[in-house]
Amino acid sequence: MHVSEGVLSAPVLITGAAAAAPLLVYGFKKLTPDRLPKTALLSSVFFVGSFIHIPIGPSSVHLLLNGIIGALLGATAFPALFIALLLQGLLFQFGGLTTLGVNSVIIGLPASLGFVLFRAGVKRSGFSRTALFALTGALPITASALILSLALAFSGEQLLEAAQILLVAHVPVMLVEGVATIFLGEFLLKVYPQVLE
Amino acid sequence: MRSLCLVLLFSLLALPAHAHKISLVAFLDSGQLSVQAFFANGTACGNCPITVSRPDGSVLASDRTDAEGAFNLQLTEPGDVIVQVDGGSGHRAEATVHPQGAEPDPAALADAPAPQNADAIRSIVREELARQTAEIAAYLEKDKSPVSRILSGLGYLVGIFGLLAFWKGRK
Repeated sequence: MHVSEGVLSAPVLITGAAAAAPLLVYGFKKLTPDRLPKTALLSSVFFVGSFIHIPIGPSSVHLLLNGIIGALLGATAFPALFIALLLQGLLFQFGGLTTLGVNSVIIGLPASLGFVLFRAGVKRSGFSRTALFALTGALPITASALILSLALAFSGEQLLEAAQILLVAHVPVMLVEGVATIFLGEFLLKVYPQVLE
Repeated sequence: MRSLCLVLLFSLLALPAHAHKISLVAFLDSGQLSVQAFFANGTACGNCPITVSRPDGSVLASDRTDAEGAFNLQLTEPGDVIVQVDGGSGHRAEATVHPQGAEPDPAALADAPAPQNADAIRSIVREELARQTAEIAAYLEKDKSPVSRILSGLGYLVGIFGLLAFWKGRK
């Protein structure tokens, strides 16, 4: 999911940067000092989580965690993910620097979806809560795969083919994170409700 | 918070990264181009599309790496080449390769079946070594210790957010 340099066309890169900028500014504005420790921690979680990979046949995909991170951080998820992506780009060359805007949008924008779904789940109980928690983990990954497919499509690759490959490859991650979010959500509600503000 | 920190530390024992980045090493000597393409954790990029072209844009080869991620090409003209490998899902690596040692010598190449002069033997040895060197370089480039870089990344994160805390605190 970290797109390398030279793959995407210039219009896509510019659109990505233009879309990322206001989200970044808004996220930083919302980053009050009391929210900093949580934001820093979840940024680290994303940073490390990218190294946990799930093998699928010959290839593998890594944990994305943008659903859970979006659920817990809300608006500040975007700067948290942006900084983690920036460091991954600089230290590990995971993704390029010109692609930072697009990569941030691919991973950061669906985090807000996670936030919305999680809040909805917290308000409910029973099966609907479990389902919403599962979607909090899984759906942002689907969204990320779709945005990435769009970015690749507008740079030349066949949309349908790229989308199919990406979605199929990420189904195991969606399942794992969906289930993990159910347990994590319930655990946090019982033990650390204050982390959900 | 504490349990989250523990989870973070334990996850450092996680499996190495894959499909984040594709790398390539290439070696060009006596007209023999040897390329090795691999993913971040060292797994070979087998059957990956590879393009070899000149700096002026003309394409010399548009093919796929073999099952072990290797690609070899015999060039007949001297000069640099640009190698590009596509790993799929938006991952791509590119390198400009400068010739080492001797330039391709058409006369020596034509003499291949019965190498009686020392120069022809030398160029054959170089060709074989080029392949070996690419393999060795690929081995050295493998991400052998990501843990230290992960830790430095976490250090940067703490530093950046610490600075942010300082900056925001002053407002």
